Amino acid sequence: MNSSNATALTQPGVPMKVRNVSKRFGAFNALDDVSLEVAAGELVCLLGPSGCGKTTLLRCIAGLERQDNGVLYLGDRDVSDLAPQARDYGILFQSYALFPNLTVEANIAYGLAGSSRDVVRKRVAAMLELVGLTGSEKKFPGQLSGGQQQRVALARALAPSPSLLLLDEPMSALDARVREHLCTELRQLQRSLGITTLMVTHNQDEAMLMADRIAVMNNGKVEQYATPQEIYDRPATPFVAEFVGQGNWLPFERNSATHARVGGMNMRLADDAGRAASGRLFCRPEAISVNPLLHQENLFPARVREITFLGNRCRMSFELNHLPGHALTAEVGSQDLPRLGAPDIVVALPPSSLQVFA
Amino acid sequence: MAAEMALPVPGKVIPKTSSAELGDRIFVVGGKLLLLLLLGVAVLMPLLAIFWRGFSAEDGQGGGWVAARELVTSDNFHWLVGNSLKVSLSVAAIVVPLAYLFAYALQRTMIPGKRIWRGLSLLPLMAPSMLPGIALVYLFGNQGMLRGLICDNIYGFWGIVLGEAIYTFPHALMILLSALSLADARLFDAASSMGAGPFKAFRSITWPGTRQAVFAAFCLVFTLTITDFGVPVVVGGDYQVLALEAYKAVVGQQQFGRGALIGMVLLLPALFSFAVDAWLRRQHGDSMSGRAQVFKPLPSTVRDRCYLAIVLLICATLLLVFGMAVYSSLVKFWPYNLSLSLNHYQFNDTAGGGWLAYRNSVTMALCAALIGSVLIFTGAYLPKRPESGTAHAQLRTDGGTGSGPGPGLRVLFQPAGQPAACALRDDDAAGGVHHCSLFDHRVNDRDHRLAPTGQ
Repeated sequence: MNSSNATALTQPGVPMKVRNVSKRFGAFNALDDVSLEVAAGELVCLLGPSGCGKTTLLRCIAGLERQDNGVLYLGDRDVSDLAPQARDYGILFQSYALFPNLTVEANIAYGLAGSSRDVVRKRVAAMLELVGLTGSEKKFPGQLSGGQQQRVALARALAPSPSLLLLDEPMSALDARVREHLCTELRQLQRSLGITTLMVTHNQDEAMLMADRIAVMNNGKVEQYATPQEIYDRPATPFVAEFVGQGNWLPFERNSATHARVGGMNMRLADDAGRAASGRLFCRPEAISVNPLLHQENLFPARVREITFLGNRCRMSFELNHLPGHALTAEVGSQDLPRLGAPDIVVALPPSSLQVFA
Repeated sequence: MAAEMALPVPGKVIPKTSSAELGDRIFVVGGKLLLLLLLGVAVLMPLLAIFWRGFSAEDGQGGGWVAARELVTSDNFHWLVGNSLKVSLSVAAIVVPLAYLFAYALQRTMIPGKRIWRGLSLLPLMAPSMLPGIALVYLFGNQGMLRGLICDNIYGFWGIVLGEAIYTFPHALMILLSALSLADARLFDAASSMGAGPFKAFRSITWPGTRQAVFAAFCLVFTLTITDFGVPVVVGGDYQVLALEAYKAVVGQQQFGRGALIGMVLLLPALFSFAVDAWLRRQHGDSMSGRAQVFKPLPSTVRDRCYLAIVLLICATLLLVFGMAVYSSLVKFWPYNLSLSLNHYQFNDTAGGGWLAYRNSVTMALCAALIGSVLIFTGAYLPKRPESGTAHAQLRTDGGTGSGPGPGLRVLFQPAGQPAACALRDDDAAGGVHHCSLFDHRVNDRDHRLAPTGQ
């Protein structure tokens, strides 16, 4: 490693490809023919409930778990059969996994074996500056707070200039405030370094906040792989719709190309809504207007059941008069509360916000 | 959430004296005082007794300052100390690495039949130290079955080392097994992701996590060996050691003062290891994070075969020795009539009580087991009860001495207690004390390692 390399914080990111990877644990199908492509310098989140296979996928990419089938590429190198040591990535664990008996300095220098002492020292200093912990070289992990330990772990993962950064639920051990702060910081750092990053999380806020693209996983499969916006606005499957954000579900029967029957009501659908003859309609709470000032389509009388105050917004639970017993949620601004005149209201379900699932 | 959590704290500062809480307090504090008292009676009193014996110049007892100076300056004493040290250091140097490999095989590899190997390896715990010595005589003695196979004459240095090695092996193994039982899988993942091979991972993760246990095992084996006279008395031959000298002084010559003096000398290594252990513990941070993931060894054929070979070799040796002991107890008249019989089990004819001695042994062992387990459980439980800050400070000092009483107690009891017990023809009672102190060590050790989880 020469001096110019030592000052470069990381190598430019490389693309990563996962092709048809499967992994079984006994009868349990942890990964079912998963394919995923991550562009160079991109931050991708694997999002899903526990047991969906996201951590298994990360561990396969890291070489800590061996896939049954499938191929893994890092850049144009096939790394499918390589030992973890030979794969060129850095990893950050939920539990920090710092070596408790080594100083911060020795922890960060752990992956720099083979470099001269001077290079290592400079590199450690540069990494500590990067994560904002200059001066902590001689401390032991036990003397640092959780957030600081995770920063050291990040410095340690980045020290050998890996071409891929893997984050395994890196924030879940931290308390909410530290988490939010570190999320933003980590994202900025990742952008400035341009390092390809794959992050596992079950926290959708974290994924929304940080990711360029999110892969929502369920039962060992990728349900949808898209930008956060697209995942929120156009969920591809009922699972994604349910897992990401809040939503309302309405059972329907199609009665024409443009209309569906819901309970005793006739609802207009958008032109590009699916062709399914029956199933469920999906609608985000904030897309529902309560007592709209302007004339809108799909206006229905309803009755308020409960209002939860959330600060700048309120969550309103209501029932459509023509669909009794079926609770729906709408979100309204707190300043609109006085003009709503509860309990009898009129709600509008705009056709563009209604998504059709078979 | 944070605000909710913070609320009850000011309320806690004001002492609430509900009757249940008061009872709880009395139970904990009273229990601790009682334990302290018991510890004082069981440890300090014998210690004082030994000192008193050693330094009182009664006629014919061989004690007193003059006798002490004479003893310490005599050439024979130097020779004995040298022998004892040589034997103990050799045994520790042989047993600890072997026990480490064995424990590593059981905890960190995927060899088959782990339960069997574990059971076999703990065999020597069930027998007094004399047994391996006797078996060695039958194997390699002048009329031994395998005489000439390893050496011409088993009596002497190597006989003692071999016998003590077998006797102390399970003691070291138990400490190392518990030290190697807990490992954070994430640390190994992190190490391999940063390019560390198995050797570097061992050096940076496994070794720092277990070196203290290795030290403890070393001290334990050392003190067990230096204070044991069971093996030297059988296979020592002309090679004399200090513990045997103490035994002879007390049992043979009725010189209790002299025995006490030597007992005090034997106490020194235990005190030394106690101090070093306490110092090491202070150096050591928390070894396990509460979020640790349980380490599961990955399959590796070469590694597993190597370890299986080591384990098989050790188990075969132990089986050979103990099988020999059992076999020889059944043989009619060694080595002339090798037909089997139960003649030797007819204790009625034995001098010194026969079946009565056997029954006494069993009764004493039962009592020791009952009292010991109750004491140890309360001793381990009480300090863990959540209480005021002072109690917690006390807890730390209690915990800090956790491994101390292991070797410490044993040495205190052995030079003083064992000859006396032996005089009663009873080796089991002393064994009871051993095992109690050993379990005490394990209980404390585990508590220690799990404590961070409970935060």
